[in-house]
Amino acid sequence: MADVGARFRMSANDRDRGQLLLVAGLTIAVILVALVLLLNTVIYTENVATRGLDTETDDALQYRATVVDSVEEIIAQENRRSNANYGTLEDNVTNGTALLHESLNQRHLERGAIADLSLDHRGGIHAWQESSSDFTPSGSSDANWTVATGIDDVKRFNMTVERSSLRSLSEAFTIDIGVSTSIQIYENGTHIIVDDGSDSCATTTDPATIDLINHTLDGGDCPALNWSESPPYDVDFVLANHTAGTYAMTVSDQTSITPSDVPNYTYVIYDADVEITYQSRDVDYQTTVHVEGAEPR
Amino acid sequence: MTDRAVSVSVDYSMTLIIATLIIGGLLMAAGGLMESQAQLAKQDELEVIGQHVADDLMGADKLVTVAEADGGPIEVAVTSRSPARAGGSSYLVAVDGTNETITLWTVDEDVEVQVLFDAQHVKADNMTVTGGTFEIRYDGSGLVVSEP
Repeated sequence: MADVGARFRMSANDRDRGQLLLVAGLTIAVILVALVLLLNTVIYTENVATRGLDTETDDALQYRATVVDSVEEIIAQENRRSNANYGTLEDNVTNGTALLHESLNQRHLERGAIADLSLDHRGGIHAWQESSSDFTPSGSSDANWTVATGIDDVKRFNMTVERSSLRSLSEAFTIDIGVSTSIQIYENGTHIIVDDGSDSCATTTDPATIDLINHTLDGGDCPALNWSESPPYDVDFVLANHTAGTYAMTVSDQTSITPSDVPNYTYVIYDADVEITYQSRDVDYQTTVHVEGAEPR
Repeated sequence: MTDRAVSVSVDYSMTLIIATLIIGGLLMAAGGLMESQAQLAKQDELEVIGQHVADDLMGADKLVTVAEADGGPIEVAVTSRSPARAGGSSYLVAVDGTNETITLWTVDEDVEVQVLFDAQHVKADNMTVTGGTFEIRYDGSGLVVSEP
């Protein structure tokens, strides 16, 4: 060690005086070293502050968005096809979803995250009459018949009717829905009239477009078409030979409509609940998204 | 020569006193500098940790917002990881959903920092946890902060 005392050694008596400086110098040296460590901490902190933040929550959100978009697309693709067999449609959707899960999960596993999805879908059937004719069931001339039974939900129910085929109020074509809705469609010589017993609306447009979901007659609001029934309910056509035109309806539950009764049909996935789970080191996320099945056409 | 003996003693004690004063002053100054720097370092670190906690809270809030809009059952848990010590002392974190503030302070209570955040689902109760690793969890009505 340096002989600090030597510089102050003026006589033999002063030999020990350097000790004070030695101790003080060492103390200050230690303090300075501590200060350096402290400043180092500050530098590190500032460094951390400017670094990008952890975005695992964004990964979870991104996964959710991808799944929702993809499942929507899978169902839409399958719905657009002509599905004569519900089992095949269901298999296609299940396989598509499994494939989606596999490819997405692989990507997330590489980053140490588990991304899972499960699909709980509801079947449906879309029935329609394309060419104008009366509304009796195909292959039969029954004027009164049940179009759909045990409907859980309906997302499309519209028709066009031609005035020349309609009759007067006393023998009007009637749509019975559930227990309390009865909508009569008739003509008075100039107008096509829609009447639910308390409200009515009329149009001169021929053929007239009746939308029972959006409650419109030729695009205009029609209070006579405001109906609501608690499921399950039936839809009956009464005096179906007293009207002519086209109709289309999409109802949930693939068994609600008997395929042989309608001119055209295709099975659809009505809607689905997708349960999405994302688990990574720091994020644990689970949500259930409702996906509407797209209309066939 | 008889007066020189006095001179030696005076010289000796004067040197001793002056050296002590100078060294004492130096030590005090260095100590003071140390202390103020330590405080600044703690404050800096707490602030940065606070920002990270705010980010985790807002991330969890975003997840809850999206999941609530989905309408189904929700499970959200985010683990927030920060150093257990700031500038050498352990610290506490208090999350206040009403005022949307995170307060961090060292246990020796010489430094306190407040950080603001913006989130809709953080519970109003003033939740306090020990700094370090803790969990932000959705309890069915809002986000709560708890130790793992």
